[in-house]
Amino acid sequence: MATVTASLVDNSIETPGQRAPLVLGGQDYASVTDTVCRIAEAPRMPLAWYVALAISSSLTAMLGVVVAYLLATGIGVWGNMNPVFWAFDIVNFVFWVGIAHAGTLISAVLFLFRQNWRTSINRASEAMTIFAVICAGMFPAIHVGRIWVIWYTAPLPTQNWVWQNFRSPLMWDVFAISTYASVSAIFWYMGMVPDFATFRDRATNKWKYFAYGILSLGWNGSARAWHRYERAYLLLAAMSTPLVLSVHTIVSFDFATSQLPGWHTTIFPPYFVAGAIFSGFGMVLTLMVPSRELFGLKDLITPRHLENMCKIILATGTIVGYSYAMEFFIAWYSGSRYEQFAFINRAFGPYWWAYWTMVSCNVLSPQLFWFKKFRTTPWLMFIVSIFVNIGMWFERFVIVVTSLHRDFLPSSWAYYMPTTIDICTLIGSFGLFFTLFLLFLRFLPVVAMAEIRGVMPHPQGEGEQH
Amino acid sequence: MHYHHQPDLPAPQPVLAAMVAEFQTPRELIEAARKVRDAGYQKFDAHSPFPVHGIDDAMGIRMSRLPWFTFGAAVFGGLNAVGMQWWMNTVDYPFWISGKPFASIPAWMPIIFELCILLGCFTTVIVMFLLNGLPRFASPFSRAVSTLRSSSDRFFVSLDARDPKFSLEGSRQLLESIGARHVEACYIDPADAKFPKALVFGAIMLGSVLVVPPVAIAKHRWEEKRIPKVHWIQDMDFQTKFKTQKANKFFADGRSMRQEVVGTIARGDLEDDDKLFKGLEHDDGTLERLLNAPPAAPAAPQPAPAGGAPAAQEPDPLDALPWVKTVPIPVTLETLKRGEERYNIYCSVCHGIAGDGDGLVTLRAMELQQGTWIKPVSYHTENVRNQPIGRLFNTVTHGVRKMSAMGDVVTVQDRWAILLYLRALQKTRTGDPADVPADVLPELKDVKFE
Repeated sequence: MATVTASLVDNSIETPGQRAPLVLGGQDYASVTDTVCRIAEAPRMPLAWYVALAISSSLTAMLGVVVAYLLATGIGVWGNMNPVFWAFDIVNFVFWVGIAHAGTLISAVLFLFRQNWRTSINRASEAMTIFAVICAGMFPAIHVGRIWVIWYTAPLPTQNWVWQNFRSPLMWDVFAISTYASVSAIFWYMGMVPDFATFRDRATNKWKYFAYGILSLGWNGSARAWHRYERAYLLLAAMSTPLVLSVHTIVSFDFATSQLPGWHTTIFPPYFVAGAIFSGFGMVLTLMVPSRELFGLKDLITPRHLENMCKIILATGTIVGYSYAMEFFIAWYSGSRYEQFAFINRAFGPYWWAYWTMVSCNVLSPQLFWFKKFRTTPWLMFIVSIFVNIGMWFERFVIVVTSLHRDFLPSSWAYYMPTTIDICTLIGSFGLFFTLFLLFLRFLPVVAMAEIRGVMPHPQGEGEQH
Repeated sequence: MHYHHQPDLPAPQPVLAAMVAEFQTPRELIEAARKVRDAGYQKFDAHSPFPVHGIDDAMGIRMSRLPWFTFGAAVFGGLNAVGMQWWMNTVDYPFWISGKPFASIPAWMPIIFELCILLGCFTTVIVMFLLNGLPRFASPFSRAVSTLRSSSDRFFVSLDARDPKFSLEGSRQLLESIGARHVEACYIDPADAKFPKALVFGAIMLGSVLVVPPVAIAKHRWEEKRIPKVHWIQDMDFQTKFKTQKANKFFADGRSMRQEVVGTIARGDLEDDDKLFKGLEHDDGTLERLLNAPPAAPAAPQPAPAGGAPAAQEPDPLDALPWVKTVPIPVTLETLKRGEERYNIYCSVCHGIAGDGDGLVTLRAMELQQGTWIKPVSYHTENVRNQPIGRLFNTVTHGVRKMSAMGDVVTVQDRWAILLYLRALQKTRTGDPADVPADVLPELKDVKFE
């Protein structure tokens, strides 16, 4: 049977000439299946899961109430006001879209780079992607105020006989986000089909058999099916890789194609993409560290996986820090007084507190990952990942609000503050996100079992190297 | 119709569908698959809980056609995006934005790219499942008892009973000889593979119920109703605002409409040109006082002034005002034509096309003989001809006798244009060849008057 030396517990140590194992604890095919299926098959979840669900579903209910209030009353319930017409709505949108990048990055980009360690975390990250896109998509939808005419953004033939302006980055956004959401969803689902078949084959009652049977589409692990499945997976990865890079690029165009100092800059696309990966991995760590503790996934999501994610956070966090510095350099180098003012004002103006929160969380805190202790101690990296989440939210706040609040016309300068409804909507979106993620943990295969089996050392020392 | 109950018809029997054999490792599976293939089987398959690399060669699986579908779909998506954006933004609904080109390939690229990816990805996944014969409700393999672990940690080879080489004993022997741990013949009940009828029925019922709301909405929208329709999305159709004639508790006088604040003039109401707006050379307020004076006690009924015998007893105080004698707007042929057009619209219905006081309304009113109609005075009377044009302007603006005030109906420019035309009409009766420029005179010789 497939076994790994049980004594080896720390696979974050590099041994020359030998690939570090990706699965620990003497696991074989059957025990991987058991480890993952146990979560969905258990009659009860750990107490922490119920507590978390109670909190997050209450917050989701609050989100429902504030959104209903918003739609019934109007956008005036938010703090958006001249000159800050874009505020929490767009800040939260960009924040959640950014988070949504890690999933497809892990599924697609790391797949193309043959990074086998992705198999333990790709399923949960993809789920996180879908849920983050749901949270993100909510904000543009409700910020139009009259959500019942949101279909105006779709090129549908109607009696209005008016078409959209396809040269507008906001239209690009509609296409990019909806493409990203639907492609991520189908990628996620396709990945789950073989695991649904496992669930179906282990079903203990008729209802589970029926539900997972429908979801698995009758998959029976046929070699001919696997052949096409792997081909499809490769094609999807090849197409999702440019897609994942394009989405935040296009989101950054919302800002970069305007003429506002602080927004009108060519560094935005790469800077946004790096920030998105940074925040996405931050959120993956935030979710994975407690999940692996709670659900006994430590043998599958090993210290090596966590360390690799920490390294990516360190790399992208440093790119983000470089971008912050480069923005200042370009502002100085451009010789434009308005550009210079925008950045001096950003760091030392009325919103200095937001700027320096952003810098300390995004640039300084990931630097801790230079130390191996931080990269291998789960609770430490959990704390850093929380800082990364906070910092990335503030980055979007800084970009949106500080650029707008002092525009070209000093008579319209103002100090934006969110209302209670703004803050409740943000908190509620976290509630929605965590509710969906907790339900995912309960009902769906949280780890890609079929993929893990594929990267395990095969029995009797055989099997090919991928 | 009773043959269902005939006892001699046999119930459908399970038929032999496949033979499945279990192996424990990927390598055993690859070897077994190769041997089955070498034995000449064609309809066979291997089943594993993850893709076993190397089995394609062993089984002779050729490269899938899937990428061609992906490529075709991506190209189709991209072309669609080009066509959609081109037609919508340059042909059907061009947007003028800062003079930027309507057809702008760089600006179209993001959506072209996204639609390539969207169609490519969905086609890849859907075609992959379809080529694999999925979704499928049941297969002989999944009906076997021992195959449940094929999705966890066991490896299987299945031989389809439809293969010409297949035989119950021969196939079993082959599988056992190549090291299978367990071999099972797998039967399938034809009735078993069908989708449960209860579910089909349930789905149809649910679908029918779901159709009801949209149909009800469509019916409601389509029908004509005596009462206002249900107005779900109010948008700005009903606004909390004060309308003109509504009562309003907020103000002491209970009215929504407000008077001008004393000492102010509403925008556009500053009529500071006496000549243009009043027809007076200069105004000291006399005109306004006279116009606002309470009407004198009705005089004793007198016969309608037929044919111009003005009551000469009292001098009209308006006569004494300094009326302008010329039109205070530029006199051009265009103004005159405009005046003709406006005259024919607003004045001729009572005054007649030629100004004789014989418009259609007048003729009809006189025919009715109600005694309340006062026939308009002909323009061609001495009195009207001699009135200064400013006085006539005042009459048009404020009305006289039965004639209503036209000041609110016809703009000030048009009123002067009408008066210019009125003077032209008068000239048609009193004109003299000497008034006509010599070079135009020959043309007039051919004009025939009735």
